[in-house]
Amino acid sequence: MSQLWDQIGQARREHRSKSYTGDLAADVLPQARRQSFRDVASRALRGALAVAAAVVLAWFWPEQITGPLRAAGVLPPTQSDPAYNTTTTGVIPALPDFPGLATPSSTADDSFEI
Amino acid sequence: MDEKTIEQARKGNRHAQTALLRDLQDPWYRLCLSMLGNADDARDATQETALRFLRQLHTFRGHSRLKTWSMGIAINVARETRRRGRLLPPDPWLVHGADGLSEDAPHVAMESGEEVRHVRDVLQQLPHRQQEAIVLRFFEDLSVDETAEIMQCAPGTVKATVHQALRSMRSKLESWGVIDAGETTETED
Repeated sequence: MSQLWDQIGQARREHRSKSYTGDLAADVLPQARRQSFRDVASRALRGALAVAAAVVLAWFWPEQITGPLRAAGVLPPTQSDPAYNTTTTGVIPALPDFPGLATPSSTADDSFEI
Repeated sequence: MDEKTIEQARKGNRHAQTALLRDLQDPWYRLCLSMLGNADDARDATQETALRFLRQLHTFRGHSRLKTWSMGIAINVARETRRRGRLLPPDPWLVHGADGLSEDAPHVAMESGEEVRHVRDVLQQLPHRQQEAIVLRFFEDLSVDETAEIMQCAPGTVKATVHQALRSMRSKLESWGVIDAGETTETED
């Protein structure tokens, strides 16, 4: 064996003679339990928050999506929208009477309001 | 470390976890100590390794030995500790001799001394990767493949790193007159 290997061998024996003083399990297991409880609690809290966020989103989601579309005229207004209550903007005159089709009730004053 | 104990530990059995930690605490501590150079830092790093080990045990698939897999955690913890750079100064016994050796190895204390100190000094001066390769390969007696798994590199890289480390160590020790110049070349299989 070369001198270098001899040196390494001695250093190896010295290295392997070192050991952790005390009981690692006793040092870390209580801490690990606490940490594990904290992990579970934090996961539960995150889950609850996610559910709450989902409920809130579901509650407001349709209005948030359809509101701008209705305002832009893409979708028809709902009854609750102010645009639903139409006002008269003009009068289209009624069709002129045709003698053959004249009925007693049809007059030139018949008109549609829009 | 049998499969049954590992399985029970994975399920949270406290006795099985204790058994695993008792088996692994010394290799973890030695690796951390050799990388950090200080008993207090090594102790903290060993405890952090144990906590991560327990947290990650469910991910162990059994493709390698549990010791090899867990040494990967230990080396990461030691690297992170070293990177943070708030290390305590090296322990005097690590640099200057055999105090602090465990009581069950008095023979080591007798033969340790100047020569071990020289190798320790040389080792501390090596680049970190070379230091890790020498410790895992020759001090912890791990195979090239196991060393590669722990260091997260290819086996060829381990061989090259060990070769460079040995060459640097020999050249340093020759220049200090600790070993004779013109030694035969060591090879890493």
